[in-house]
Amino acid sequence: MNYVFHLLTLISIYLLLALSLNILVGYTGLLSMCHAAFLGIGAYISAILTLKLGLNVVAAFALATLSTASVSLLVSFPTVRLKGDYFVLSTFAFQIIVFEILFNWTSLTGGPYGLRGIPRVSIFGQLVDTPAKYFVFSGVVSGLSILLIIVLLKAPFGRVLRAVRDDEIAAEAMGKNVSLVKVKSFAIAAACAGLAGALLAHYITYVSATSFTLQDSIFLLSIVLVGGAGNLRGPIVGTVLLLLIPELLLFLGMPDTVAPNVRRMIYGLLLVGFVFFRPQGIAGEYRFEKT
Amino acid sequence: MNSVLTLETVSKSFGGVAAVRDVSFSLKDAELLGVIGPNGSGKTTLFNIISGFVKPDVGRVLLGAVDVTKLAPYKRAGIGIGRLFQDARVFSGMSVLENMLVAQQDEHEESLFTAFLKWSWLSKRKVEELANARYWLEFVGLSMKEDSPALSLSYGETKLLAIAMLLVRDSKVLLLDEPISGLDIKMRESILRLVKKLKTLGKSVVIIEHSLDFVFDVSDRIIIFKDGGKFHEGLADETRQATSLLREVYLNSSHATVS
Repeated sequence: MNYVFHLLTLISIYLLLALSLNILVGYTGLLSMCHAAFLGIGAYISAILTLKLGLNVVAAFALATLSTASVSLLVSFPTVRLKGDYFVLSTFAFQIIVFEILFNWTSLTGGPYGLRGIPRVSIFGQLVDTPAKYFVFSGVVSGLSILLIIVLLKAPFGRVLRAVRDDEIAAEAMGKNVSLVKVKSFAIAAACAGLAGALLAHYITYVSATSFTLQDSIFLLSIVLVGGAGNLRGPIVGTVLLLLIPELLLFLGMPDTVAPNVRRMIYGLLLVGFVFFRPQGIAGEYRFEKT
Repeated sequence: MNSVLTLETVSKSFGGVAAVRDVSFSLKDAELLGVIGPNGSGKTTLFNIISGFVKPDVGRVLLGAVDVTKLAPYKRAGIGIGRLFQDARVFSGMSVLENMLVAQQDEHEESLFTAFLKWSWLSKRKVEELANARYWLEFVGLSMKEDSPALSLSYGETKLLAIAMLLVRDSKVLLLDEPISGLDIKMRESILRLVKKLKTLGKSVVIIEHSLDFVFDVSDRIIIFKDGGKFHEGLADETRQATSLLREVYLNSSHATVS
C-alpha cells in the first residue's frame, strides 16, 4: 500500500510540474529547458532554510516558492527578446549553470553529497511521516496550486498568453506588453516548480544536485509534449503515463542495472516518435512548429 | 480640422539605404488618406514607423498633440493606433470570438490580481465584451464564424477578422496595409464597403494599396511615394486625373530602370 501512495505522491508533485511547464510551453509558446533547475532551486532553498536555519516548514515552502519566482527573472529578463532556437539555448545554458552551482557549492549545498536529513513536514503538531499522510499533504498543496493555475489560464491573462504564443507582433499591435507577459509567465511557472521542489525535498528528506539535471528538464518537457501541450488534459495524461512506464518495467522483472537505461531509451523514442507522428501529443491542442 | 496624426520630417535608413526620407504629412479627423507608390518605395516602413515597430532616425510622430516617437508599439496601440498588417495577423490558435475578446481586453483585466481577486467584475466585463465582439463581427460580416478556429478562415475572412479586432479596440487611427491584395472580386467588394463605412464611424484611416482604382475610390487625399520620399500629395480626384504623373512614378522609378 505504501508503494501505491508513494506513486500517487510523485504523481501529485509531477502534475504540478507538468502543468506549470505547460504554462510556458503550451500557453506562452516558450520551449523552456530549465524547469528541473527551478525544481532544484525550490528543493534546495526549502532544505537549507529548514536544515541550516531551523525555519518552520510552512515558511520554508513559501520562501522557496517566492525565491524561485525571483530567480526566474534572471532567465526571463535577458531572454524574452530572443526567439525560437536562441531562447531554447539560453534556457539550456541556465539549466547547466544551476546544476553546476548546486553540484559545486559544497559549503551550502553539500556538493556531490547533497543534503540529508531534511525535516519532515508537521501540520498542527501532526508529523506527516507515512507515504499515505504525505500524499494527502502533497495532494492538497499541489491540488490548490493547480486550481490557481486553472483560474489563471481561464482568465483574460490566459488568453493573452496564447495571443503571445500565436503571434508576438500581432499581440504587440493589439496593445499587449509582450515582454512583460513572458516575464510573468516565467515567474508563475518557476514559482510552481519551486513549490514542487519543496514538496519533493521534504518527502524524500534528501536532495542531490543529480536529481536536477538537463536530463530531468528534458524528462519534464517529454511529459508535456507526449501528453500534449496547450490544454490541461495533455500534461495530466503525460504525467501519469511517463511516471508509470518505469514501474511497469519493474513488474516485468527487469534488473535494476538495466531498467534506468531502458527507461531513458523509451523516453527518447517516445519523444522522437511524437515529434514525427503526432506533434500535438496524445491529448494536446498546440503543436510546436519551427519558428 | 485638427490633425489626429502628424509626421514631421521623418527619415529612416537601413544599413545606409534610405527607406524613408524626410517625410512629413498630417492626417485629419475622419479622413481617408491613400498612400501609393511602387514596391520598395518605403510605404510599409512608413507604417512601421507610425505603429512603433521601427524607430525613425530623425523626425517626430505625433498622435493628436502627443509625441509618440519614443513609445513602444503596444503603448501606441493602447492610445489609438490600430494596424492591419499586410498578411492580416490574427491569433491562429484561438477561435474567432476569442480573437475578438483578446483584442479588447485591457491591461487591468489581464493582471494577475484581477484574475485571482475580481471574479465578479471579470464576469460582468465578459458579458459586455461578448456583446461588443458580436456587434463588430456582425458589422464585418463574420457572425456565422464566431466559433470557428481562426486558422480555418479564408485569407479574406482573416482580413475581415483583423479589421473587426481593430474596431472592437476602438482604435482612432487605422493603418491598413494592402487591405485587398490577394483577394477575389467578391471579397474586394466587401472590404471596399467596409472601408467606406469606416469614415462614417469617424475613423481616420491611412491606406496603402496597389490597386489604384480602389485607392482613388475610397480616399480623400493621396500621397504618392517614390524612392522613400513623398513625391506628390493632392486630393484624390485631382491625382486620379494626373495620368502622366502616375505613369512617371510607376514606370520611371529608379527600381524599374535598373535592368
